[in-house]
Amino acid sequence: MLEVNNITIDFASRRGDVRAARNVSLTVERGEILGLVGESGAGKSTIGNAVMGLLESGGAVTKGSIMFEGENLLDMDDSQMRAVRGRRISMIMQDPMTALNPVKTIADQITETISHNLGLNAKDAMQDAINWLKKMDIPNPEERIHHYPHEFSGGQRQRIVIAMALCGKPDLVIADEPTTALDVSVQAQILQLIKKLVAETNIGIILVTHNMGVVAEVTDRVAIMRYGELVEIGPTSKILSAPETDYAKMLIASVPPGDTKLHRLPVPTEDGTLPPAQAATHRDFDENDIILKVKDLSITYNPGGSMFSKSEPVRALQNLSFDLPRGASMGLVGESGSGKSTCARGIIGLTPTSGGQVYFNGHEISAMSEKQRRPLRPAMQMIFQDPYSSLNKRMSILDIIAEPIRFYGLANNRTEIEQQVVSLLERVGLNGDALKRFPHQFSGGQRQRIAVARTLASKPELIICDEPTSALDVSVQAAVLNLIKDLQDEYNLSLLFISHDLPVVRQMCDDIIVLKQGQLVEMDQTDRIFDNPQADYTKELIQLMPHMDDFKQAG
Amino acid sequence: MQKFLQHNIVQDYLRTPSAILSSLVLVAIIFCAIFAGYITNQNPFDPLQLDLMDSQIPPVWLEYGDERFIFGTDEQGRDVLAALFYGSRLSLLVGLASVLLSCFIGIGLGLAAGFFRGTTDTVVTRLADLQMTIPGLIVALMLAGVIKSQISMEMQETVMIYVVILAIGFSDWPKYARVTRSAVMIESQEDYVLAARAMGASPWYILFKHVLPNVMRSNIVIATVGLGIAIMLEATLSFLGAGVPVSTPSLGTLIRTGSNFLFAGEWWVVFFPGLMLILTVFSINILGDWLRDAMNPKLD
Amino acid sequence: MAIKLLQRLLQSMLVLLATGFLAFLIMSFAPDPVDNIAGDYATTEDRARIRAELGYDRPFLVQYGEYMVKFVQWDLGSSLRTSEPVAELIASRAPATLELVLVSTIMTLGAGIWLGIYTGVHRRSKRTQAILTSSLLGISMPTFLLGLLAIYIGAVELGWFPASGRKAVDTWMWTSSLVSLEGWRSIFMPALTLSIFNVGLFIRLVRADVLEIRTMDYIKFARARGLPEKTINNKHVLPNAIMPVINVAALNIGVMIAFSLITESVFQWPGLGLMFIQSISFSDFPVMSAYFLLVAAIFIGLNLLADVLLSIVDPRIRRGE
Repeated sequence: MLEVNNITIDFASRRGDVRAARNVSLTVERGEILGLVGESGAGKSTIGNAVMGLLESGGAVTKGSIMFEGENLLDMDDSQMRAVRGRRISMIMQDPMTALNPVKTIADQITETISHNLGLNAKDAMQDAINWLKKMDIPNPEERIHHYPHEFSGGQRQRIVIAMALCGKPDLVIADEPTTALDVSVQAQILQLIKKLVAETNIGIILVTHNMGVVAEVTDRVAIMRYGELVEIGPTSKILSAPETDYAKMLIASVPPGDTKLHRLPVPTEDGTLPPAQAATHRDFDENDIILKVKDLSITYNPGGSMFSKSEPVRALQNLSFDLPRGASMGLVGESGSGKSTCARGIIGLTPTSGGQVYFNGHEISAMSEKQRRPLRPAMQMIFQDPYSSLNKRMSILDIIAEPIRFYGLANNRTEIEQQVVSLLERVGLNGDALKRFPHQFSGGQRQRIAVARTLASKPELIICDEPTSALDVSVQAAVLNLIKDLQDEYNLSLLFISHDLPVVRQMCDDIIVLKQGQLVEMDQTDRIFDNPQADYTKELIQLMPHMDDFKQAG
Repeated sequence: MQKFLQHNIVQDYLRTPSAILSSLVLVAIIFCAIFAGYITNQNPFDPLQLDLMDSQIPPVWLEYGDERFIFGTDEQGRDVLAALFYGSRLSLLVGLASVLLSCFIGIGLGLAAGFFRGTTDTVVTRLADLQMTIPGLIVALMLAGVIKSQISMEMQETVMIYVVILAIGFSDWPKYARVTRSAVMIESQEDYVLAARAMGASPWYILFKHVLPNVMRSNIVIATVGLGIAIMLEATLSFLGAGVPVSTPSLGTLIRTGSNFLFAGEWWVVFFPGLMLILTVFSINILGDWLRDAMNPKLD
Repeated sequence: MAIKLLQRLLQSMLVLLATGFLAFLIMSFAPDPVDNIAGDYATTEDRARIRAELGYDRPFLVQYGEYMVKFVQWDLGSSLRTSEPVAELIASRAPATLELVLVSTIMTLGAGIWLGIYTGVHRRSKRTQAILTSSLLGISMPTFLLGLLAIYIGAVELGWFPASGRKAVDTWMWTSSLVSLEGWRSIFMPALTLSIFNVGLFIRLVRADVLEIRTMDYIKFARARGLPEKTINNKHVLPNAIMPVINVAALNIGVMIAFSLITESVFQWPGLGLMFIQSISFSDFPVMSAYFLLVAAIFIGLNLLADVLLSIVDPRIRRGE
C-alpha cells in the first residue's frame, strides 16, 4: 500500500543544512503494523512526518518518492495532500496532553474531522463520533463527548486522539510514539487497542517507537534506523531473534532482559564484537555491616491551599523500613506517584521527613542539622535522572566535576584539582579534552558519565541513583549501567537504585522494594521477586513488563 | 579570538545585517555623545559662546543656510548639531543609569522572591503587582513632580538629573523582578540545583554560583528593550517639563523648547533632535529584537 | 470558579487600599493647611486648636482611613490652585479623556489584532516584513514626537485638522466630540497619535502569541486530520490566541490612559491628563493624588474585568482544573 523509495530529507537551519534521513526505503501493507525503531537522532519521526507531508519548517524531501496506492505523494500540491490527510493517511500523536485543543469540546474536534473527511451532516457526524468513543471504551460517551480535553485522564485522551485519527476512515495510520507519555499499565491497554483495530479494519500502521518491548509486543515487521539511515528491515520475529547487522545485534542485546540477571549487559568492545552474555552470580553481604538503615520513614507534603480551600496533606511515603548492607544494591520500584523518588530525596535530605529515622554508617542523620550533616555528606551522593538538567549549562566540565572537590576542600591547589578531575573523567570513559568544554557539547550518555564522575569526586560510599538511565537511549543505558556496576565492584559502593523499569532493576539490584502510593507492597531478593512474586500488584507489574524473551530464546 | 568568533551568538550576529547596521549606528551615536566637546566647534550651553547674530539660521542646504551650522541654529544662536550631540549624551546617560537601577532592584528582588519563596515571594509579588497597577510614566512623573516640589530651584539644577534617573529606574523594576522570579523558579526545579543541595551547599552559594548566571540571559534581552523605553521616558518627562532643567538639556528638552517655534516654520530645531531620538531608540529596539531571537534556546 | 473570582476581587480591593495609601502619602507632601488658615500671627494654641478642628491631630492611620472613605464617597478635597472641588474638576475633564482613550482603544485593538494575526499567519511574506518593521518603528517613536509630527503635517502643512484643543457639543450626558464633524476632526489626530505606539506593541504581542500557538501539537494534529488551513486558523488558532490578548488588552487600555496625558499635553486636549500635568507643575497635591488613585482604580477594575472575561472564555478555568 505504501512504498517509500530511497528518500533523503534535508533540513535548512541557521547553522547550515542537516540531513535527517538518507536513502530510506520501506513498505507497509494493509493489516500490518510496521515498527520503525531507532535511538534519538535516528530520523524515525522525520520519516513519519514526511509521509504525512508535515515536515517541520525548513525540511524537504530532496530525493526519492513516496508511493501511496500508486500515487507519488511528493508530486501532490497542498490541496491534494490535504485531501489525503485525515481521509487516507492519518496520524496518532505522542503526547495526548498537548494533541487536543484545550478550548474546544471533544464533540467539536471529532465532528469537524468527520464532517470534513466523510462529508456527513452535523447530526450523523455526531452519531458517528459517539460510536467512535464507544469503540474506544470511553464510558458514557453521549454525555462525555461534550466535555473538554482537560476533563479526561491521560489514557482516555490518548483513546480520543486515536478515535480522531481513525474517524476519517484512513487506510494508513502513522503512530508516533503513541504510548511513550503513558504509564506502563495504560501503555499495555493502548497497544492492545491498536492491535485490535488493525485486525478489525484492515488498516496499515507505522508505529514509530524507541522501545524494543513495544516492538516485540505488537509489530509484524520492523525497520531499524540509525543516524537517518535504514539499518535493517524484516519480520519482527526474525529481526529480534537473529539480527544480521552489527547495529541491530547491539541494539537488541543492550535491552536489559527481564528473565535473567546478567553479569554485565553486552556492549560492543572496541573492535565492534559483542561479548557473549554471562549470567550473574549471587552476591552475599555481611548483614551486620549496614551502611544505610531506614526505620519507619514517613514523608508528608502539604500542597498548600489558599484562603478558601484547605488542602489535604499528601502522604507520599508511609512507614518504610529497610537495611542496606555495605556493598549491596537496593532497588526501589513503582509507578509514578509511588513515592520512590520522594523516599530517595528524604534520605539525602532534599525533602523534609515527617516521621521515622535514617541512619547512615550508624549516625542518625534524620535528626541532624545541615551543619552536623556536613562531614557525612561526601560519603553519600546522588545521581539524577536527567543529565540535561543535572549539569549547569553555564559551567565548564572542569568546574562541574571540581565543584564537590572544591566545596569539600578535597584538594590543595589548582593543579591537584585538575589532576583529580582528569582521572575521574578517564575513569568514566571520557578523556581529558572534555575539561574546557560545556555540557551542550556532549551527548546524553556522555553527560550522564560526567554526572557520575562528579558523584565520584567526593569518594562516596553510598550512591543514590534516581532513574539514572531512563532519559537515555537503550544502547547508552547499557553502557552506563555497566559503568555503575564496574564502579560498584571497584570501590565497594552501596547503591540505592530507583527505577520504574523492572528489567533494569533486575540487572542492577540485589534486593528490591516494590512501592505503591507510598506504601510497601513487597520486599525481597531480586530473583525471588521476579520468579515468584507474592503480592498481586507485583505480579501485575511483572506481567505488564514488555517481553522480548520469547523471540530471544527462539534465537 | 578564534573561539569568540565561533560562538553561536557571534556567528548569528555576523549573519544578521540589521543587527550589524543598528549596532554601528549606536556606536556612532555613542561616540558623538561622548566626544561632543571635541567634534563640535561650539558648546551650545555656554552662553559666552553663543551669538544672537547667528540665531534662527536654517540648515546649510536651504536658502540663508550657513556652513558653520550644518543643521541650522535655534533662536539663541545655538548650533543644532552641537546641541544634538550634547543632548544625546545626557539622554544616553540617564537611560543607561536608570536601566541599571531597575535591573539592580528588579533582579535583586526577583532573585530573593524566586529563591526564598514564602513571605518574601508574597511581598515582592504584591509590590510588583501594586506598581503594575500604575503605569510607569505616571509613577515617574509623580516621583519627579513630588521631589521637584520639595527642593529649591538652585538644587533642581544639580539634583534633577538624579531625580529623573531615580524616577525612571523605580518605574520599571517590576519587569525584571517578574522575569527573574519566574526564571529562578524554573531553574530551581532543575536537577543541577538539587545536585548542589545534595552536596550540602547553602542557599546563598546556590543562588550566586548556579542560579544567577542562568537568569541573566532573559534579563539582558529585556534590559536592551528597557534602555530604549528609558530613553523615551526621559525625553517624555523632559518634554512635559518634569525632567532635567533647561540648562543641562537632553533631547527631550531640546524638542520641548524647539516645539514653540514649530509653527513659525523653524522645523529643524525640532526635527533633528527628534530624528536622533527615534534613530537611537529604533536601533536599540532592532538590536533587542535580534538578541531575543538569538538568545532563544528553542532556536539553538 | 466563583470562589476564584471572589478571591481576585478581594485581592483587587487590597491592592486598591495599598494604592490609596500611596496617594495619601502624596497628600502629606502638601504644605501644612494649618499655616494657611491660622495666618502668620497665630499662637501655638491657636494652631493646635485649628489642627484639632481639621482633625489633623488624629493618628496617621485614622486619617488614611478617612481619606479612603472619602474617596469611595467621591469626596476628593479641593484644588490648592483654584479651590475648585477636585471631584468636580475630574467630572468636567473626564469625558474628554474617556472619549480619547475609547477612540484610540478601538483603533489599537482593531488594527493591532488584525495585523498581529495577519503577520502571525503569513509568517514570511513581504507584507509581513513591512508591517513588522513599521511596528518596530512605531514602538521606537515617543508619543509626544508623533504628536508634533501630526500637528506639523495635519495642521500646519495640510490644514485638515485643528492643531490643538477639543471641539465638543453638549449632549444629554456629557459634552462629546463624537457627535459632530468638528468634534471628530479635533479628536482624530490625538487619538491616532495615542494609538500608534500601542498598535506597534499589540501587533508584536498578538503575533508572538499566534506563532506560539501554531507550533502546538494540536495544530499539527489538526493538519494531520486533513482540516483546511482556514478551519485550523479560525477554529483552533484564534480561540487559543484570544486568551492572552484579553489580558494584554486590559493592560493596554491602562497604558493608554497614562499615555493620554502626553497626547493631551501636546494637543492641549482638556482632559484628565492635562489636568494632571498642570497639577504637577503647580504642586497641586490633592489633584495629583486623586488622579493617581483614579488611574490605579481604573487599572485594577480593567484587570478584574479581564479575569472575569477570561474565566468565561476559557473552559479550563470555567470548568475547573
